[in-house]
Amino acid sequence: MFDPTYIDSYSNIDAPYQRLDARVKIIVTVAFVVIMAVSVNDRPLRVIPFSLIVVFLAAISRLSPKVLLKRMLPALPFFLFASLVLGFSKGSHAAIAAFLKAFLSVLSVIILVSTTRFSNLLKGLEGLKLPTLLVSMISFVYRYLFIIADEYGHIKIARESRNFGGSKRRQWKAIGHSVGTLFLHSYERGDRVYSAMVARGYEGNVRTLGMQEIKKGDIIFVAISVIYILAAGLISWKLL
Amino acid sequence: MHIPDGFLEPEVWAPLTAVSAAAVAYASKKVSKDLDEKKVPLMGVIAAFVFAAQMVNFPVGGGTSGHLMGGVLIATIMGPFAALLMISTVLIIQALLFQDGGITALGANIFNMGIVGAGLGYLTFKGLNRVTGNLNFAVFTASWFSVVTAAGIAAAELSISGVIPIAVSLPAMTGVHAIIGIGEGAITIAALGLISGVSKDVFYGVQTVEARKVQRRPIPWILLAVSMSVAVFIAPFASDLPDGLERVAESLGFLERGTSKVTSPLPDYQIPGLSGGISTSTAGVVGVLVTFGLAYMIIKVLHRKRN
Repeated sequence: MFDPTYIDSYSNIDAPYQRLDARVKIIVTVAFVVIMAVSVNDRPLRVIPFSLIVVFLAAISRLSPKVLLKRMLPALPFFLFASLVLGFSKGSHAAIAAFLKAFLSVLSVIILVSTTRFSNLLKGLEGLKLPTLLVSMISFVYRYLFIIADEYGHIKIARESRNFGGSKRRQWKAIGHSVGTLFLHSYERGDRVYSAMVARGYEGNVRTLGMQEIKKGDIIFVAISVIYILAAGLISWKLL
Repeated sequence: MHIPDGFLEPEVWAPLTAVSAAAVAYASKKVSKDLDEKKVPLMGVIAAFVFAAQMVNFPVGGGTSGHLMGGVLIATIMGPFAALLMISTVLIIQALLFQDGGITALGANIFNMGIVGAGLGYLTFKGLNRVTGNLNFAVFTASWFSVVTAAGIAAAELSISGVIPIAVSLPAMTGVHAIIGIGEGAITIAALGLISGVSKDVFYGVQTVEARKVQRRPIPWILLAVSMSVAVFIAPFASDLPDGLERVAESLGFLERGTSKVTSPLPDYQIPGLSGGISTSTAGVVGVLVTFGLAYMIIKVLHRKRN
């Protein structure tokens, strides 16, 4: 169905951005999205200093525009449509600004996630004080989502080969039973997963191969980036 | 669909992010304590179930279909705090890996679906179950209500940010979701029915069905439906003419001396910024629900005092 290795398939390229600590990349991405959201408001020209940041990040991660645009495609229709709707109430300037903000935010997140190994990304989130319980749950959802979604697919096929149809009420009842069954299967699967992990030494921590350490390069990068992002915010606010 | 970056005003998403962050932090602590810490894989896999359940598509008529939200479904089984965590997990993954929903909007999305959808939905379920003793009624209404309210709040957030006027967004969102909510309610009942058939003690924080089977009372259902119908359909046609007291005040000249010491949120039974029949209907529905909620709380307090 969906290839789980797709999401961080560019994390193994030898490029400067890939080598940075996950925590630093997350901080820079979040700072970028937040400060852009606060400074640009409804003025499209203000986006320009921020777009330079994304270009820079794409360059140091060796991700080609083609790859980035391909990854953007699923999300594009939604904020495109939303921008059109916004255009009717706030005018074309605001609509363009909103579209560009959404566009650049999505790009920066794609760059972050494509260039960071998923387990390192989670470790980075944990290092930034996201509750451990939440981080563990994120890792499990990622691992089991596709399996459980596939299982629902099987239930659906079985249901449809057994004369599914008729009134909406009847259909809802059947769908409800499918969802209930899926829950029971998931619950039991979760129990088995837990037992299997305990049998292999699980004690509650997410483990990654390399220990996370902040190197000189990380500090320099995050300092320069955050300063630049703040500067971009100020410049766009004052001049554009 | 979750709200992307760049559409909400900071005045809207910043406070919502703060509230959501606090709620998630609190829920994490609470669940870590109650849950056997090592049962995390179980919760994780069930969170994956929530994600998959939200992909379930069901027909709502006219060739259209809706998606399950599953807030009340998961909250009645796992409790509101675990449900909030699971929904937040799903939303975070959707924002990061699928770019469905923005980073600045994450707090708002978690608020809409986790806190309002699951948390308020669970409280509604518990309250209705307590008051009516009818489990199916409680589940259905709470599921329906959680979907409609979550949609309404999202519409309000977008409208406050100027994306779309409230006169358009509120009726559109709540109208569509009022229909989708029916499907959600029916599916939730069927799912819980199947699950509770397998394991009797399934509902979190609520007595099982057996003990309360005797007390099935459909009357509250009818009364609530009647109240809502009056608010929605009849209230807008209420007469504009002054009532007895106002008429006397006008003719004797002391109408002007009436002042309000408190700023009213819904002056004259209208939603500020919205006009016409829809405004009155919505204000009416809000009033019915608030009154219902207050009455329930008073009854609960009195009940406690008596015992």
